[in-house]
Amino acid sequence: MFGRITYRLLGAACLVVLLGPSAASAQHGTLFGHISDAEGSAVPGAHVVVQGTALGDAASTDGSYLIPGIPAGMHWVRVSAVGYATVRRDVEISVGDSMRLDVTIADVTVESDEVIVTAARRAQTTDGVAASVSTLTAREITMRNTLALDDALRHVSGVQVAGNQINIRGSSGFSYNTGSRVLLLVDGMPMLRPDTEGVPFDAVPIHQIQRIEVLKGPASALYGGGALGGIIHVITKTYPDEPQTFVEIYGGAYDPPRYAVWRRQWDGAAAPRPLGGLTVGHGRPLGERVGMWTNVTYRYDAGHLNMNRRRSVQAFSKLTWRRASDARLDVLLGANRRKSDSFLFWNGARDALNPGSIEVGRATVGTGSDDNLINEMTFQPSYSDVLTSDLLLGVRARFIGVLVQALDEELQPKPLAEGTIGFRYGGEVQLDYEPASRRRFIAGLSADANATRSGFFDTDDRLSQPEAAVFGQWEETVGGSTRLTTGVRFDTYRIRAGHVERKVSPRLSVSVPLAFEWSMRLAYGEGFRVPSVAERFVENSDYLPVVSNVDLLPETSRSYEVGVHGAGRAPRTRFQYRLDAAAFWSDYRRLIEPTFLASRRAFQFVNLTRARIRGAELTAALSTPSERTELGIGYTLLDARDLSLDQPLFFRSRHAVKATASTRLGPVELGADLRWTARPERVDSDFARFVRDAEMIGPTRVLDLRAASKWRGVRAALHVKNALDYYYLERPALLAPYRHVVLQISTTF
Amino acid sequence: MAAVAVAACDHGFEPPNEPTTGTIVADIQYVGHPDAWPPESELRELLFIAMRFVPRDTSDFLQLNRIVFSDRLAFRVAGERVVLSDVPTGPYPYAGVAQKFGGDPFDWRPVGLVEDDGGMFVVTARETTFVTVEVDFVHPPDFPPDVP
Repeated sequence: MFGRITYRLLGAACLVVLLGPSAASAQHGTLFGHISDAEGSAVPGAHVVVQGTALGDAASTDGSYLIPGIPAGMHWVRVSAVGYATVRRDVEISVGDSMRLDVTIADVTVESDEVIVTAARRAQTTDGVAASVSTLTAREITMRNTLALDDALRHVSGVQVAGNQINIRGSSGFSYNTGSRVLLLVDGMPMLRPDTEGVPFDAVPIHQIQRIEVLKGPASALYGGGALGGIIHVITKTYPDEPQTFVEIYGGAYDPPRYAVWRRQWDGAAAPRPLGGLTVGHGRPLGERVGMWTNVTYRYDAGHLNMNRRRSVQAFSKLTWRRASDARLDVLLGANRRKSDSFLFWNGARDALNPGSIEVGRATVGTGSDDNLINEMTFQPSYSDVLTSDLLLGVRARFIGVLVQALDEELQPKPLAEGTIGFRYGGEVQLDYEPASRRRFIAGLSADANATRSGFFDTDDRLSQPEAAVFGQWEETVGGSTRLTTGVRFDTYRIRAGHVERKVSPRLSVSVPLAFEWSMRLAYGEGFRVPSVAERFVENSDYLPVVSNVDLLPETSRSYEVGVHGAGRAPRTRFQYRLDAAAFWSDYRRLIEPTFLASRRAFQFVNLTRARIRGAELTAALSTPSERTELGIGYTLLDARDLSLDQPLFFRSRHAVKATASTRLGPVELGADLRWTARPERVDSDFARFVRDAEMIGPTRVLDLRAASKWRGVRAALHVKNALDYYYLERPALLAPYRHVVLQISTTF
Repeated sequence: MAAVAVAACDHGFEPPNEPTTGTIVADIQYVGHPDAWPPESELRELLFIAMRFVPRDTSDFLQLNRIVFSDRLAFRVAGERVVLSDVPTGPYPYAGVAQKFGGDPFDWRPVGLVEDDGGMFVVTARETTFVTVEVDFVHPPDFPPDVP
């Protein structure tokens, strides 16, 4: 270590000599030191940044760093690394002096929200990320009594949730829950359902989540198909140093619906509808290098609508084996069993609490709700190892299985042969090579396949879309601290026998430090999405008449973004701020949309249109020094147009605002979260051919309030969700939850 | 945040105050008039009907709570305009002219359908929906219809 620092100091000294007296007299000093963890081991890659300047360094493999050329005076230095708590130190640099600052950072189940791992397939600090990324920390998730991933994402700027579909910056409208333009990653591995390619929101229990990163914009060059609109990356917790048990119980009820005309048509509406749950989690070291986290959650929700009840049991474990200080194996195991009525569409605006029905065919009756038993299983091992001082190996695999069985009138599961059985499995190998501190290469291979058979499909065959990819990325820091990143990914998919689709997805981005604590980014990327098995093969009239289209082609996109990012301490105050502004432009081709075919009196997924989605987004956050009071706001402006028809795209809102505020008043913590979305500019009227009043939709104005306090290790929180009892539709013909009150009690020991 | 909270005080979506209705105007033309008209013995009744569902068999013509229909249409004319007012709003996936050709309650058949845009239309509140029907007694539409 000493040798490395000495070498760097010599280098800095030579630099000063070469630059001559003018540089030497420029009132500068040098900061150097060593970054280690609690056990004294080096933390390679830890970022050391001098706030308010463009100066910084990444710790080398022996943990050392060196930052020359720091203006004399008081500075605020920030040290961050993935898996470790961010540390800040005040230092005073004297003219011509070299100051040593050794920092120990704690390995925690950290909320290192200053570090992003999604944007470049590796850890980097937010100021160096050349993409729009929002993060949700475990604390934010817990304090809102978030029940599932989609609940959490509703509070992220630029994200809209329509039913069980995620829409990032207008990439998706509402496509009847089939196909997703957003990819879910769990600890770096893609995790979409094998049948619908939808996001499995219950794949990871909410209390197992350390952090969620939302990457906005196409990321196919990094992660392949499915990442057309963006990425949701769930990073899970690693076991704690000491045994830890977490217990949470919550319960509450929905208000009775406000309107008598609705209550009259559903006997159950008059009484409060309960919801509640229990979570028990335990994490502990199992040996010197082995540990685990396990969560078991039971939930019941009577639902705010008739025939919308849900009961689920979820179990999840993460086992970690640290083979050496720089090598570890993680295994994620999950099981989820859910018995639910799913309310699909109402019986009209005057009977919004009851599911509707439509008779669409000779022998089938379409209903506005379905009863299912769903079993999901996940298994995800991953291994990382620092092979040499400049080479990191990562190997990951995944398996997700889904069994869906419809329930009969006695709520007993029907034979699996009439339901859906799907498996998805795959893996990837990635190498990170850092031949020099300012240069890094990433390369890898991935392969994936699924096997799905469903009674909803127009074939009895087992369907599969095997895919393989090779990817590479080159990062170079030039001209001081300007970071240039370019990458490309080649994907090949076998759509069906004899039909293979290939796609090359390039990306290019630049991150330029500006004055003080600001940086600018420019990014270009291409994305694509292969149609899901369901989009191509579903042929069914149980709910809506849908006919198959086996000839669907992949949809593609090209996107451009420019943005600025700033974070730090506001001048002459101790307030911390974070601000990000972005303008984006995406062109889509062959966009897959459900379309009504008059000739067949049914919907079909077709490659419909060219589209352009452009807009801007501004997010800002401000907190007091002790984080006693925190404010945050995000605004998204969207111009989403169908270029073929020269009309707005369906189900996209032009304006959306998300805001949050929290403060501590003595022992009580108060908070509020607001979601405001304008009415979508255009609504798909084809859905209204089958469902009464399905063309009705309006704005969203939802305010959640919360109050919490902690006493002797027990935290009690009262949540009033949708406190203004604002009635709205997240998607056509489905009333979103109205006001409900939840009491949450939790403790950790 | 306060401003938006105030804006939310309108309580958002609410059910329409009254059961809403609209109007259907159907222009009916008879193909092959006057020769194609059936004999009197097979012309027991002739109605314009609009159904809220796609029928599976003739028994579905008796789901009267889910069907709107006209008064008896004029016989042996070249064409006729029918106006149905106070029609409940919503989608009508199957509509046309139905002929009762026998004495049995199930002796009904369609002789012409609304074909525009797949034969489906939506009645919206206080709006008039115009449809056209070509009636062909010689080549009536398939029944039950061939839909998925």
